[in-house]
Amino acid sequence: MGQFTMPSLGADMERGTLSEWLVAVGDEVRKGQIVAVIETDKSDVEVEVFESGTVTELLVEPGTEVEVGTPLASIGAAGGPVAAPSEASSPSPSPSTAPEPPIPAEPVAEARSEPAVPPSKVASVSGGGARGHATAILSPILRQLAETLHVDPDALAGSGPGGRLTRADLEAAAESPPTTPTPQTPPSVPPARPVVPVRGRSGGGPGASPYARRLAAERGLDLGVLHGTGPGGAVRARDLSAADADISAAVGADSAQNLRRPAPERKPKDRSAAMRQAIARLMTTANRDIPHYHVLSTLDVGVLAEWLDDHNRAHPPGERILPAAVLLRATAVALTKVPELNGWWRDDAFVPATEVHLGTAISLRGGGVVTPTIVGADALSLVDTMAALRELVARARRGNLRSADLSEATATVTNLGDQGAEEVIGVIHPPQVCIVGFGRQVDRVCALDGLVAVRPTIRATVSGDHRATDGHAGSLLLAAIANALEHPDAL
Amino acid sequence: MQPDQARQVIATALAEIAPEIELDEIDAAVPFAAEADLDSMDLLSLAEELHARTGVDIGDGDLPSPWSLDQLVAELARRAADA
Repeated sequence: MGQFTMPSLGADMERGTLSEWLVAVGDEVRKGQIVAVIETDKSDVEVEVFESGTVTELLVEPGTEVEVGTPLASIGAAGGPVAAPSEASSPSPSPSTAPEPPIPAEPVAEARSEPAVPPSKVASVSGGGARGHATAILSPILRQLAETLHVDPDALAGSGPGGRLTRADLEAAAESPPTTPTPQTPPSVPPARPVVPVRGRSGGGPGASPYARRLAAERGLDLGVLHGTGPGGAVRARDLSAADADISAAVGADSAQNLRRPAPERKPKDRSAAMRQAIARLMTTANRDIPHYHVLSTLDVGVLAEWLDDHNRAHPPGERILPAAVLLRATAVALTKVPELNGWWRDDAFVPATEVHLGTAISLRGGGVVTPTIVGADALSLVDTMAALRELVARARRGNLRSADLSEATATVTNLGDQGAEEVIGVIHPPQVCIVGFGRQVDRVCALDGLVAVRPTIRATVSGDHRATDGHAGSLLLAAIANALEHPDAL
Repeated sequence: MQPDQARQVIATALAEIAPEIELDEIDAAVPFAAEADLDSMDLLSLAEELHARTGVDIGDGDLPSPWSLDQLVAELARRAADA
C-alpha cells in the first residue's frame, strides 16, 4: 500500500494544484503511467505514478491546491480491496485553499512600526504565539517572497507544521487589507470523503475539467458536442482523444484540420505572469546567495559541423541531429569527468550526484523559459539525447510537461541557438552549482596550425558557484566539452 | 506544384508547429527563421512536416542560408513538381 503524493516539480515549487485525475478508484495503474495533471506556475504537468497497483482512494479533488508531499491518492496491491467511502480518511485540508482567516488585530501599530511598507499591504496578525519563530525557520525563497510582497513574517502566524509560515500565509497576508474584516465563514474545504468530482458548471455548458477545456481549445474541438465519460457526463481529457480519433477516422487526418478552429493563444495571461514571478524569485535567490564565477572558451566546431552535415544529409528529417543535442551530450559527458560541478549545494556543503540529470533551458513562444530535465543524460547516446530533446521541447511548448521532466537537475545548459546572441553567461539554478551557456555558432578568424583560418566556432561559458568550486573546475569542464565536440563519433 | 499550393502546404505544416504565426503577416522576402522567431528545432519540425505531406525533403544544403519564405515556397514548388 503506497501513497501517491504531490511531487516537487522543481526546486522552487512548494505547492501545486491538482488539475485533473486521469484515473478513477479501482483502476489498475502501472509504474510510470500518467495518472494526474498538476498545474504549476509554469506549466500543466502530466504526473506519473511510481508504483504499480490499484487506485484505492483519491484523496484530493481537482482544483485543490496542496503543499508538496501531500498525499493525493492511495495505491494498493494490484487487485486489492478498494476502500469503501465510509472508511476513507479525510483529505488533507490545504493551507492554500483554506487560509487562516486573518484577524485584523493591531493593524495600525504594525503599519507604524514598518513605515516603508505600504499600509494596504501590511499583514494582519492572527495570534502572537508563533511570532518571531516563523521567521527563524523561513526558507530563503519564502523570505524573499515576504520582501517582495511587503509582508512582515514576524507579524504572521504560520499554518504549516510547527507554526511554519507557508507561501499561502504570506500571499493571504499580502492580499488582505488590514482594515477589511474577513468573514469568519470557513473557506471551502475538500469534503471528507473520497473524491466525487462534480464538474458541472453554471451557465448551462457541458461540464469539463480545466485540462480538458484547454486541450479542447488547442485542438479546436467543441466541448458541447462531445460525449463525456466523467461524472455527470463531464468531459475529460480522455474523451477528447476519442473525439480526435473519431474525427480523423471519419474524414481522414488531413481534412480533419479543416474542421477545427485555428489554434488559439496557448498561454493565458495569468500563467505568463505567474511564470515571470517564479523566474524572478528563483533568479533573485540565485543572485543573492550564489557567488558566481565565470569562465569562457571559444570552441572550434568545424569537425562537429562536418560530421553533422554528413549525418543529416544521409538521414530523413525525423532522424536528423541538431547541434543543440550534441552540445547537451558533450556537456553530460564532460560533467562525468568533472564531478565536482555535478550536484547540489545543500546546507553549506556540496552534495555530488551519481548521475547527470541535465536541466535544459527552453524558451517559450510569447516569452518565458522553462528548464525541464533530461534524466540520466550521461547514459543516453547522442541519438537518444536528440530524441529526448525533441520530445522535451514539444512538451514544454505545448505546456504539458511530465513530472519526470521536472525532476531535479544536477546541472543546467542554456543554449541560445542559431537565432541567439554570440555568448550567454547563465545564472545558476539553485541548488545546482553550475550552468553551461552556449551562444550562436559564428564563423570566426582563427589561428590553425600556424595559419589563419575561418572556422565555425561557438562561445561556451561556465558559471560556477564559488562556494563549491573555483575557476579551475570551470576551465576543466570547458576543456572536456571541447574535447568531446572534437570527437563527435565517440558521442 | 504551383507556388500557391506550396505556400498552402507550408501554412498547414507551420500551424502544427507554431499556430500563433499568421503566414500572411510574415515578410516573405527576409530571413524566415528570424522573421517568424523559429529556432532550429522548429525548422527541423517544419522540414519533417513538409516531408510527411509532400515527400519532399528540404535539407540544410538545399536553400541559401539564411533563407526566406519566398525561397522555401519556390524550392518546395519546384521539387514537388519534380516528384
